[in-house]
Amino acid sequence: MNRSFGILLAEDDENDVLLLKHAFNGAQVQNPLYTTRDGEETIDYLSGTGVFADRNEYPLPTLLILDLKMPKRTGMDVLQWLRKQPVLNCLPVVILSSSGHRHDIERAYRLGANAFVVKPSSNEERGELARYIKGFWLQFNQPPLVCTEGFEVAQKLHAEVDAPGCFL
Amino acid sequence: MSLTPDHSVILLAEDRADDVFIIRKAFAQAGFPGSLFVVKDGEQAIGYLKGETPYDNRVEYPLPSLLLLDLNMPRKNGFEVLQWIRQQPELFALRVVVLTSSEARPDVNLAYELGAQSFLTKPADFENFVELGEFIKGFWLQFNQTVAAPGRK
Repeated sequence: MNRSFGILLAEDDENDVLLLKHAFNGAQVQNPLYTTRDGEETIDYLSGTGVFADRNEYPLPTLLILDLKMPKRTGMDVLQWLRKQPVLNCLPVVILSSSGHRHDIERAYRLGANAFVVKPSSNEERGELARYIKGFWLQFNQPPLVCTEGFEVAQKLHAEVDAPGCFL
Repeated sequence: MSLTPDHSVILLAEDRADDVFIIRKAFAQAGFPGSLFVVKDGEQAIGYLKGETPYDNRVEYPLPSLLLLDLNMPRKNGFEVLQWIRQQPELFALRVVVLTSSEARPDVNLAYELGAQSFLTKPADFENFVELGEFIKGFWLQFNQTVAAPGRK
């Protein structure tokens, strides 16, 4: 596991952020956790604009954990935007939603979410989820090139492969 | 044809018998709760997902919620299977995890581009296969949500 790979948590509920941070600490996740508090801020972070322009301070994450109900722009808006971005479009996204409505799951999958998890209600369950996110997404999963080698390298390779683009 | 995915069913598309053997054994050791069905090439994988003969009985061959997909396979390779899956709107909920011995960088990106949810390199030893089995079980079977295609039971 490359410990420098960061996680971006897009979540407007302060309490949920704290609980998840606590769970990640408990699971001994060494990777840095960055947070954004609404959809607009999340898009700014991912596109590296405004206060997030410095990629040394705000590196591209290797995983986006995305709440659905957020102010300004929702999680679905962010997902829809992300999948249309060149190069950045393949960033793995785990939806973390307070409800598991069938309609939301279907919409998120059709928009290109990698996974859909309902927010755990107990500390025990949250700890378990943190352990599995760490094991599966941070330890075993190989993120797309843009996460590991940066935007320019990924863009160059993208052009060479002549890939069709995610979910187009 | 029923399109209801069974949450505890995984389809493994893998042509190498020794890899199938190791994965079966590792998943059993990881306490896998469901069933693991195996197909040996890309065409069989598509046949299974379509529910074609001999996979036309969904009681016997249930639709999986997760496909573990090797890339280098005869007849149709993993990329071709991915390409086919994304053309089937009713399979939108099927999660595809690529499991390959390839570490080629363009393969990683192409797999994501073609709609894979995750890209894994086959672990080098058995212990790591068991560990991976636990994480697949925990994340994909326990926490990840699945849904059936619209208009189906």
